[in-house]
Amino acid sequence: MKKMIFTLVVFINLCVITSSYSMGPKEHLRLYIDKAISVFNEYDIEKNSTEYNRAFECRLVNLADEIFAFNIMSRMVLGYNWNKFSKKQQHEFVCLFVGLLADHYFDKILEHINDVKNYNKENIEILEEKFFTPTKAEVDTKIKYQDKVTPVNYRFLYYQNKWQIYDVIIEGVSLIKNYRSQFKELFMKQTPEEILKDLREKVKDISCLKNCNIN
Amino acid sequence: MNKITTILIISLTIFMFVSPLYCQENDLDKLMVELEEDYSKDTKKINDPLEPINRAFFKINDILMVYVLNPVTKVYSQVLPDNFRQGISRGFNNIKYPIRGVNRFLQLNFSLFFKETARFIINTSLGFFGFIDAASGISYLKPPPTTDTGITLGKYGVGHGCYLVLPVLGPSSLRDGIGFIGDHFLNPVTYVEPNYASFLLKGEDKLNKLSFHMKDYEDLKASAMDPYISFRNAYLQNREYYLSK
Repeated sequence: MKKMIFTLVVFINLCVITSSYSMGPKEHLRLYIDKAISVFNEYDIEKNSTEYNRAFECRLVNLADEIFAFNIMSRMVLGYNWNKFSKKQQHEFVCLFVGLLADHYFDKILEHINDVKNYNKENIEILEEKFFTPTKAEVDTKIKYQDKVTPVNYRFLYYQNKWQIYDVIIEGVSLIKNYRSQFKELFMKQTPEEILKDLREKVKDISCLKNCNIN
Repeated sequence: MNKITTILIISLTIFMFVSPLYCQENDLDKLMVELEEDYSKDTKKINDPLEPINRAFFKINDILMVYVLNPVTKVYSQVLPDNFRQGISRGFNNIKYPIRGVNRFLQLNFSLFFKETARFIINTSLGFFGFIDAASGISYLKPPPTTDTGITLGKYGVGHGCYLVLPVLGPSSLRDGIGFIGDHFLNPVTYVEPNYASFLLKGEDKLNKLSFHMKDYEDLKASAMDPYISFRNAYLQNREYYLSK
């Protein structure tokens, strides 16, 4: 009996150790692309209503939350200006920044739902993965949309025992670098509270996000 | 021995599940310093001494996009189906082969020069003057990254000089503005007679391209905290990307 328990505990430990490392960034990306496509396919155009669409958007945001390191991305776009925010402001900034991305990237999927429902391996081609360090990598993909092939690269880091995306580079344009350039200039002209005020006005809703009950 | 094994296994289990909670904060700070170093050294900058004038042109161009080109492209997209517009886009792209071909030659990139030339010959003959991308049927002849005279100047070490927002044409730089003049003379459409026909054809090329990218423009603008800086940075990063190809 004791032996059996030992074997079981050792087995569980080994599973935890190997499972977190065995799936590389490329496999991780493939898994989440498949998950996203299955969410798109579950969308029922006939049920189109505000509540139904909101629930659909929330599913996408929560799925994205599993693979995107939103906390790290939010810190990166601010750079050293992150420390100018208080703890409470930092938390609010993360929520609002994710809300901003959700409003302008995940919400757009609904506008193109008929196109993305038919996405398959021909539309999204996962190419090579390059490791910068054992815990940082980039996966190159090509997305075909309306006869145009766009290179999209995902930067991954191994954090909290899983591979997570911390930057998306579309045709050479890094999302993080683009926001960094904007926030850097904003901090020269505005106070942290003024920046948060602008963000609050820009972001329509963050109710989908876990731990973001700011008010 | 059994006791020691038990203690070891229990300790390992506790360590695996509890240690991340204590290490997280410390690890995150270390990680942020590392990422900050990566992104600080990898960030290119562009001089923008004409920012007030550029911002004024950016606003004028935006008004033109929102109130003139947006409704025009909407009607245009409704009249011409997607596939037909894609064909037009491919056709114009094929006609402009000399821009890519000559510049790949000047860049001494003979592999891409031959690829562009082969694509031009196949698409002009078998693809109805480029309306169909017949060359892509051969995997070696998939469309290579685009290039132009501004990129060639960049390959020879010419820097951007300064950032410019050109009226109607949008983001550019001193180097790419000069490159644009080179592209103008390499574009066969420039030599179409009478002059107004050449002008109309170039207008159609731009309008057709814009009909696919109007939404991208609106999305990038809406998602930006400062659209002017966002477009300037996106332009710079995108040009650096093609310079590296």
